[in-house]
Amino acid sequence: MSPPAHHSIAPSILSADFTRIGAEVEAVSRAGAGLIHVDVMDGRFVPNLTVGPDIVSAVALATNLPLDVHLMIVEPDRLIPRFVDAGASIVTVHVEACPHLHRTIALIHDCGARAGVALNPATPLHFLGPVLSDIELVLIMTVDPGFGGQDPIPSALRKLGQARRLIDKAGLDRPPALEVDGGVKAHNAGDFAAADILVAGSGVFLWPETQEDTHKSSLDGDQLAAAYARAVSAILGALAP
Amino acid sequence: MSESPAGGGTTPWRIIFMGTPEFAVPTLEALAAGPDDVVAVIAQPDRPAKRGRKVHVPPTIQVARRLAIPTHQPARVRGPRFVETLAHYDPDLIVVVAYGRILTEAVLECPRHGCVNVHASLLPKYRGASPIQWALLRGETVTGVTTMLMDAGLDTGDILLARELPIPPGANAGELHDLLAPIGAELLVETVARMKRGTVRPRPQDSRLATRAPLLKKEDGLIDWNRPAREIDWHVRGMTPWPGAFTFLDGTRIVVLDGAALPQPADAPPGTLLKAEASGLMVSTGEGCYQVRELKPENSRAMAPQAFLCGHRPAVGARFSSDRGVS
Repeated sequence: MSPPAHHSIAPSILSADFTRIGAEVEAVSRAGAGLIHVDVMDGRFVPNLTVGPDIVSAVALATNLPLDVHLMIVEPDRLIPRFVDAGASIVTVHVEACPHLHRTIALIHDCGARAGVALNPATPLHFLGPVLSDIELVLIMTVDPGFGGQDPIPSALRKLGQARRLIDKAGLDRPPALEVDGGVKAHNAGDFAAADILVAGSGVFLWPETQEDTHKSSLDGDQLAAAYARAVSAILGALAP
Repeated sequence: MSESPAGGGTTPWRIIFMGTPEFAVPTLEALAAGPDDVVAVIAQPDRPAKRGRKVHVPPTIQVARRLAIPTHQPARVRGPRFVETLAHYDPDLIVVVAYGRILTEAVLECPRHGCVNVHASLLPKYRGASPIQWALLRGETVTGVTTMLMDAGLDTGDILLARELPIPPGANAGELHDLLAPIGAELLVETVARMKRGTVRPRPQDSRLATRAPLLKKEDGLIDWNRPAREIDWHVRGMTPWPGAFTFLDGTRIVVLDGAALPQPADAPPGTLLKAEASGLMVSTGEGCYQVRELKPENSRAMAPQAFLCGHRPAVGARFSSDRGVS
């Protein structure tokens, strides 16, 4: 298995300071991120409740980068059009929440967005088989979703490597990108090297030097962008062969 | 085309498309297939026929004719007549993809929502006519596409959306072009959809980070064997297919089409042919060796090293040079 030559970092706003989400998103967009990851949780599919389409609109206005919207919600079909309207470039649904996955993927494409499929840590990879050639993104969760700051589950990390092999062996003309989410930090980033895109929440937004209470809120846009750039570089540096 | 379930209620925009080469085609096709009306396609005039060839009609014009969209190929785009032509279509937006000319303020102000350009780099890097080639010439590992609200400067307008693309190792400018063109189309379609919904905000470029990508000339392709092997690899990939990375051997001009930098040290002056085998011609460089794996001698076809060795017998120790030399 050869890891991808280039990795993108997708900072997750879950760990951002929501009192100034615009400044946070603008700053991280200048820090070398490839996408902005938005964790949408409905309190039913996962035990936490986060943002809806209106916040996604605000985030969309604060960045030029693609918005990678991860729907950890039940019955996503009902809300997919609203999230694309709000500015989602990619909409990722959970296989565990979609009894008719082909229909949901077609809906995302009809709305004009790219489609991703996510798997929770305990969900076997073979659920991807029937849709692999239809989607643009595969998201492997290495923690049970709901809260930031968790450590990755080792068996899920092994599943990430298996997902890499599954995609490579499929030999598709336009293979889906492989994204991983759950516990990515600078010190363990190497464990996630099989992925093309690494989601990092607390690993970027709660990067040590911005964690001290007084410091982060006093940083201006340029200083914030520079701090996040150091966080992103630290993760990318740990991935370099 | 089925109606999108999202973005209900927005009326189709009248879009004028300005673009000339193959790179612009996927964007034109995606726009024409979408919910908006492409009301006209504007491209550079046909290129006159070279000896033995037909007149070259721009690829975008060919597509427009197939789609029955009115076309214009004005010789001049400065001046009031061109603006009148545009205004006649009552455009909401002009989309510009590799048109090939700088547009005046009057043109930029004509459509209701301005002019959006698809640029094949991550602005503000590689502003100019040849962003794809220069990203390779500078040894980048990632590039991308940016959509930009145009202003009167050269690629200086506010950025709308950007999407990065990792450069596959060994890819040349032609291959990168073919990867970026459809991404540009997708990005532009997303940009227009989000402009209509008001979910994208233009943001100024940071010109402190700007770099240039000027138009390349044929003579820029000359290989400088004094450079490190890995930079020669960048040069070959960035110059292929046009203008082509070339050198001279025994008075013959040779275009190097493909090769690789190898780490082994070269114990000979740069440009010396160290080994001539079927797998490649190993040449010493300023740092390390470069192995030529596909080449095109003048007046011949492109060939693998094996074929080259059959027809020519370059002596080990022969020097690749920067000109035909006195032979």
